[in-house]
Amino acid sequence: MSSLRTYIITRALLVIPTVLILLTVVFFILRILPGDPIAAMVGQKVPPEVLEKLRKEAGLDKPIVVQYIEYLYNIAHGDFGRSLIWGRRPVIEEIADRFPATLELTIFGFTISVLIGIITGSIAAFRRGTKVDASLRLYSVFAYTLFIPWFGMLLQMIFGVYLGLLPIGGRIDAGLAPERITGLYVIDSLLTLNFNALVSALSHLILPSITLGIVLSGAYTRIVRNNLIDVLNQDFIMAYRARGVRERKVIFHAMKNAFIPVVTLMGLQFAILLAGAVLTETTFSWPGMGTFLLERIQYRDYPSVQGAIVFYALFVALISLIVDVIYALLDPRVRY
Amino acid sequence: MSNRMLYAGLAIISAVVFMAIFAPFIAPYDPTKSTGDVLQPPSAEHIMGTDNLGRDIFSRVVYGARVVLIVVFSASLLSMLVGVPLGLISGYYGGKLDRVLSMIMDSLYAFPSLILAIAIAAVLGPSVFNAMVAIAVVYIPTYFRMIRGQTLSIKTRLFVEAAKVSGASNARILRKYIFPNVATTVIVVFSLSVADAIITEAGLSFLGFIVTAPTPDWGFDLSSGKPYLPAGYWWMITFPGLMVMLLSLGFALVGEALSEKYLAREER
Repeated sequence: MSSLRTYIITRALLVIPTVLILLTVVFFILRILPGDPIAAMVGQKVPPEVLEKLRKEAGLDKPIVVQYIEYLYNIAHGDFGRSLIWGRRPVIEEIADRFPATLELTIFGFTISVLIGIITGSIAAFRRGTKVDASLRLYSVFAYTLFIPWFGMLLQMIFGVYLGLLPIGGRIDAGLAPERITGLYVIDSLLTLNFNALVSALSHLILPSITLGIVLSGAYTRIVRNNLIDVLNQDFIMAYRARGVRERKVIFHAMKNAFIPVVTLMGLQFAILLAGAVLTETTFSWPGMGTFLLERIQYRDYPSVQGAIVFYALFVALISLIVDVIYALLDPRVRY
Repeated sequence: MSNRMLYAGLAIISAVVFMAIFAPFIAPYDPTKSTGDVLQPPSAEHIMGTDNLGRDIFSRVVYGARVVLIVVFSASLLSMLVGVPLGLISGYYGGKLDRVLSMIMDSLYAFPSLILAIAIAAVLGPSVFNAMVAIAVVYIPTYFRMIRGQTLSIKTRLFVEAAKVSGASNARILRKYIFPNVATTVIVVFSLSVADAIITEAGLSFLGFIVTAPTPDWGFDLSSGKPYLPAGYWWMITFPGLMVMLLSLGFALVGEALSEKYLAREER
């Protein structure tokens, strides 16, 4: 157990350089690339005095090294600056408002993708070489190349416009938002026993999370299939079968062993999940981080844009840490 | 299976490239001018219908192949030109340089590609060239990681040792002994990352970071069709989106087939 603890501590410490590099890259992109970010974002129509004032406020008049240190210092203190529009709220508060929507969408999308992946992947593996296997392999390539806004709009067209079954945008019907506890509407409405809100939140979640889930499921289908085939060919499975262990139990053991690489894939897919969420949010007018980022780019609200991207970077680093720890718990071979 | 995938993929890619090159001869109408009939459903006259401004959607789809192909090809070439040499050097020399480069590339790789591209495109401003730069930056780590890994395993092989003993310089070893052995990987990574870059390009274009009206581009046209969806004008979104998927599928099929043929299982 102590080696597991060493692993977790070492891995947690490794987050520091990863975060530093990501923050440096973000800083580099936003400040050092040719051009003045404030001028680029605010545009040419603003008088030079105002431009100068904004630049000063963002600390852009100081030497680049000082700017860099201040930037890191402020992030370390949870200070993401103030937004330039709408009451000039602290960016961190704006993010706190929008992030739960993205979290809810990605949790549902992720769950759907993994479920589809495990089911289709296992079917393909157990029917290896058949037509079912071949078509599921094609499915995995097809799903991967689906363009989220297009697929999402087709679903909106069918289930929203023609069949009129589901809403085509937004997170919940007007006036139904449950009292904020976690910010996740499904959980909040359950906690407050607000069933109208629950039904509305779920019906708004179905199309976007299915869109995201199907597009991301292809990679899981493939990895589950390939791993399961490998495991089924291993000696211990033959030993089980030779000893007359029930097929259901054999399958259970095979699945358990085939699942470890799936966890690694979950980590790798996480970046794709977040990127996909940006497009899904735009398609379904979902008020999350992705629409926040795009809206603020449009309003040329520089501190909010930087804050959103920094937040994404921190989130990515945290998730990759969690995935690695889960992986270490599952696979005793992963230790330092 | 893998041959059929390869040929299907190549057929799709050549059809789209052909369409882009000969667009003026294939498109029946000017893609940027109104034909007078707005929001017409597909018919014999307009096989994919017309959009809200009365432009022929088929003509826009044909011309739309140009921007995406130019952006994606030049971006992928650029990321290859940066990523491959860095991967070779990092894997071959190892040491501190390798550790630093790997850490930077791994961090970049972990960051959601579309969001990184959005950040770069937002700072540089929306244009075809800037989108190309943004997409190029995003895919450098893909080449780097793959080539670095391969270089690590090839440099321990006997023929590299032999070249070293016989006094070949490092530059010569990299060029004559290691690069030829990673060349097939470069091609496989190229087709797979192009498949991905097409989706990223369409995403950026959909979000308004590449072209402005009236330039036809599939992702952008899809976003102009969005407001007309609740009223049931399905043809404005169906065809441009279908093309994004088809082109990406073409490269994905080629990439899959090639990786099955030429890469060892654990490298895929």
